[in-house]
Amino acid sequence: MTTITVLFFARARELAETSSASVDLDADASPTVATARARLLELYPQLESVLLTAVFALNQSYVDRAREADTALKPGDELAVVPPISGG
Amino acid sequence: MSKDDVPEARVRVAIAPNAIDERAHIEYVRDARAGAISVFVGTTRDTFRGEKVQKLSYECYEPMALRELRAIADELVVKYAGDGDEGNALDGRGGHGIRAIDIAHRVGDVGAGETSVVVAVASAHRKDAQDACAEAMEALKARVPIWKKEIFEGASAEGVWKANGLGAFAASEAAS
Repeated sequence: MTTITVLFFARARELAETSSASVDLDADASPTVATARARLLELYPQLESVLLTAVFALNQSYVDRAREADTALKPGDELAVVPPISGG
Repeated sequence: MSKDDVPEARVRVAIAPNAIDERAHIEYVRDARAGAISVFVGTTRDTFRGEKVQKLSYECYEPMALRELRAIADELVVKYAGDGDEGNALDGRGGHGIRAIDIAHRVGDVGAGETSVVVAVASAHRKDAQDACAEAMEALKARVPIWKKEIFEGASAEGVWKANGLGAFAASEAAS
């Protein structure tokens, strides 16, 4: 099992009703950010709309949306759901 | 690249849980080798489409926000390091570039009209400070994981999460 920590912010945090969660992914299936995105949708169906516009950050670096399926996850990784930002 | 080639500039970034003192950020970048300090102060508007805004509530992914702010500052120090041509000050740059940069962003509840962000840049001549100050804000709004929720006065007390719609969050990207 590949266990990662998922962080939720802003609208994602409100809808998930938590700011972080431990998520188990099947290690045999070589989990990627795309795997995690699909798993989050199963665990938190209420995140569907926010996940459409959210970008992930893996260990504090953005993951290009086009690279999610190529970005591997390992145990202990920190994956943040980053809804559209609004600093300023 | 030897150590001497790395631009020498003081860099500071912060996520501020309390009120921002703009003057303290100006004083941080003040430098006898600088002939200019450019400052941007972002403040919270009190209305959105006619509705009265009571406050804005900011949150951030703090370690990553600090990392992105630091990266933005470092990138600008390199971009505006100056070309070393002291003889040409007509371009408003004079060859020596940025001497110091300081960026701070508020988190938590910020009342209407208060300061939410400050960028201060000191450079040898005016243009580098002015350009870097403007670019720092564009990059901050596009990259730094900070969110704000508008809380309105009266009935619609639930609030609305805002979106800058820049960088990876631009409409064309999000639609894919």
